[in-house]
Amino acid sequence: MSRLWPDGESISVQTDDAGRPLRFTWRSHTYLLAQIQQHWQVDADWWSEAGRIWRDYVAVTTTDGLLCVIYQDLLSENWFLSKLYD
Amino acid sequence: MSVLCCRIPHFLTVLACRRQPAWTGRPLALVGPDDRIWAVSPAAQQDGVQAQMRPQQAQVYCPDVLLRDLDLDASQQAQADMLATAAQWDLPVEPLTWGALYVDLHLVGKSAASVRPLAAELGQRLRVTGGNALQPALGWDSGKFTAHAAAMQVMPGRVRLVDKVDEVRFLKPLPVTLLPLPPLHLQQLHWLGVRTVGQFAALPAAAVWQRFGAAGKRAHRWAQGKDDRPVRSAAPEEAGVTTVTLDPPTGLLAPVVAGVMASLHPTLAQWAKTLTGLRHLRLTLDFIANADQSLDLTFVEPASQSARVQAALVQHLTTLTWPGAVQAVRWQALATGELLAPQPTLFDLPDVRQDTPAVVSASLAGRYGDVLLRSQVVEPGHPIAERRSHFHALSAV
Amino acid sequence: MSASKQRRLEHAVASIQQRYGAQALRRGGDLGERALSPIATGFPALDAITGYGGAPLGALTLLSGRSTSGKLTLAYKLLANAQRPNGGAPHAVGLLDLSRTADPDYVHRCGVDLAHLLVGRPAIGRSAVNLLGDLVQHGGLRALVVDSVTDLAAASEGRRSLYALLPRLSQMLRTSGVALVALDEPHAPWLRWLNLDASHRLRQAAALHIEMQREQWLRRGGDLVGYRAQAQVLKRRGDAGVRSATVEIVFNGTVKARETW
Repeated sequence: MSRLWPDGESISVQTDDAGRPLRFTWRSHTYLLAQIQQHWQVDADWWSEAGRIWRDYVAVTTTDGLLCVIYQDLLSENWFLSKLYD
Repeated sequence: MSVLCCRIPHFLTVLACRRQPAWTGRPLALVGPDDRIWAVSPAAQQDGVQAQMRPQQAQVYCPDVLLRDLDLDASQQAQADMLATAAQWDLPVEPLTWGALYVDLHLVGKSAASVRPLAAELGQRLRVTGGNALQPALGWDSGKFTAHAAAMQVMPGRVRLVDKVDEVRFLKPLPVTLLPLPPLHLQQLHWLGVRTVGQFAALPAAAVWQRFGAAGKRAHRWAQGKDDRPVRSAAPEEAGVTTVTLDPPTGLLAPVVAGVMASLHPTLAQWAKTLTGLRHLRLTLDFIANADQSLDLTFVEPASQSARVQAALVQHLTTLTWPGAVQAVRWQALATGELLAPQPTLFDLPDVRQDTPAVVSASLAGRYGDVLLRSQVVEPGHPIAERRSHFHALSAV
Repeated sequence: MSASKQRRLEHAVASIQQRYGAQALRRGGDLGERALSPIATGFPALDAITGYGGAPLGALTLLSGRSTSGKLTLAYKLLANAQRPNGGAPHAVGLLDLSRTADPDYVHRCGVDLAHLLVGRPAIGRSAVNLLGDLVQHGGLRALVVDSVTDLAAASEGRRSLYALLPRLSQMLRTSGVALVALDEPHAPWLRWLNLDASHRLRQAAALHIEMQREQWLRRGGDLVGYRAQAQVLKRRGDAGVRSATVEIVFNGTVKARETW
């Protein structure tokens, strides 16, 4: 069961050559990814005046035991923390 | 008039301890069929446990409290024995509450001297019937309210006789909480600085009537020693039958309860104005194509609040087997009785309430505005997590 | 008034008969002990070691642990269990969502009836502490979760307000009967030295303190389906016996195929 940031928590992510996240920094703390559990893409609201939502979601576990969902906004290429399981 | 009031303090808990001697001296609270505390022993009372609390709350106040189910059968039998003992002189006897009753002595005597021997004899007979543990305290006066107040003031095994000429002086210093006014009215009196029966009696009658209504007017008269209510025996009264038609007939509980309560509520409100409540309600359910079924709701302590009557109604109806849909309900109030004074504290009885979020929010909205919210899942399958649910201010509901 | 009359009057006031409940309905059954009902955690092994059989009513329970320790899940399950009615409507419960990260979808998956959940999102600071006190005092909620202590004490004025509230909090809880559950994260020891550690004072005020720690992931067919955590009871009623229990938190999946959680 999770915490959800509806507007996304801004994070900085370091990726490998293939674009897979390796680590992310959130609130001055860097988390090393242990495993990518799941990866999916959402492309929604392309018809909406508010704008298209086009995101790459990744559910990850970190080396210090966190389980969270981060996503990259494919329009802005920024990364965000969406959910943190607790 | 000449009224003797007999009361046995802690009647229910003393009875329970007589059956279970190991409970004697321990903090004990007896829980009734409505899952509320009905009776509290002195030890539990000292820790703040009060009647009408929920068991969980009693445990918060007194972690060592013994919570036991009330043995209703045994309690009612003991109550009946007490009434039968008091009725041995063929004088009108009116039950008041558990372990308490009135006896009308106007045929016997109207002065303290003439009543004293009879009061002593009744006290002795009750002690023989109930045993030494159930010692009655007796109070006598020309009116019920003062007789009751006298019985509450005196120690068990004693009698307090209040002559007419001493009535006002006797009542003057007693706490105003002896009057069976709603807790809100008592609180208002407290804020006004009215703490004693004498102070309340000294208020202008018109002002009391205007502020507290018919119930307050009546209580005002009692506070002045003017209580002319007769002692009514426990025999059923003649009462009209009210029919509630259910159209269409229904097998559901909610519409039946709603129909009966809508019909009953005005009567309860009218009784409350005279500080009277319902003691015995007979209901007859008229089923389609099946025989009628009757049930009796009895309240040892008269009920005037719709919520309490409704709770009793629901509880009874859910234990009844319904052979079909109900097309009509007939109710008849067979007995009424005087309301009793609420708790002797002027502060709201603490209670574990069962409010809804909207009720909680409404009471805090003035201070906190729209920070109190309710949430709702609107699209559980939406691919974007934050779209699956939303919050909305409760004040907007 | 003479001293003897005053004493009689005091006795009369003290012994005024209690008002009994009104209904005389079902016939009485056997004289049996009334079951008391603390709020079950949803994990029987944990209930058994708390000393109360769960989270106690009218008292503070502190749940501490890092993220993904399961403390939030435990808190939501307590709310769901606190809502369980006694034959009537569900009890109302509350969530002070100071971090503004409550996910109603998952709260609902934990079994909480959202229609009977009040969510408070006050500004951080004194207002949040005041709302906490008022919700406890109101007594209309059966349980209230505060998420989290860190947010409650984040601002200095919030911290001061919280410290001022704590001495009265136990009595307020006893009076209202509310089960207060506060969530907390581990803090550096130096915070206490600088009097910035609200957690320490809350630990002192708590009747029950459970620390959660994730131990291992649970997998099925290679997929992550949950995790196993250790719940250690650091403070409780009574001293004897086991102090830790293992709990398993299994994800209750979402509907969409792509995202399984």
